[in-house]
Amino acid sequence: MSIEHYQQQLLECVGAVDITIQSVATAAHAYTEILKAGEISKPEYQELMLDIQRKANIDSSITDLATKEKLNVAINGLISIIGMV
Amino acid sequence: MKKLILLLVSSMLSSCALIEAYQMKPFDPNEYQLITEIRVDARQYKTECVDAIQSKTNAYILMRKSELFMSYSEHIPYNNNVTKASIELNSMAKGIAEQYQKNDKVSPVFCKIKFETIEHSAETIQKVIGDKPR
Repeated sequence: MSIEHYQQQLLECVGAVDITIQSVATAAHAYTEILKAGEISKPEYQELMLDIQRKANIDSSITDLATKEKLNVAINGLISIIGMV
Repeated sequence: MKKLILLLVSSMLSSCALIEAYQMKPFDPNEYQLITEIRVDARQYKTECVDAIQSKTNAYILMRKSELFMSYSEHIPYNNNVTKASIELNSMAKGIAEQYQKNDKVSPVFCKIKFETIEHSAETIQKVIGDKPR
């Protein structure tokens, strides 16, 4: 398989409805183009590709936390309402 | 009425999520300050990427700061999400420091993208830490 083959697959993902998939594919495609242009080395490219995964993990943890914060507000709100009833 | 609300809430949520959400630690100004510093530093450092010697120092400073953030968050109870995010952020910062350790000729483009990614991720974390209940 060639770089072009995988890039084609990335380009198909750039049009995805899911914003996370779209941003991952866009970043991976951009980094591949920068590598091909000789602006970064192969180890640097590998490091940037690892960052895509790390960023996705951060986004996932943070989304989960944001949901818990909403739950916290809702639970405490309900507890105070029950206290008043 | 009370029973109805409790039944409604408990049926909607898994017990784990319910406990974690209820036990969530309130806003921690130290945690917020650390992540803000990482964000602001990364924003500044990305503008200094043409200077390789300065950038090497910057990469080490940011790595140490992200280690501090990770270690600070690590033992705060019911703080798993921030801890997980801080571990990933530290890996990002380690990644750039390691490139400078291996090779003095790190590409300015790589340097800029790395600090930019760290800046954006720090901002994502900062927003949620800032939203923690007071």
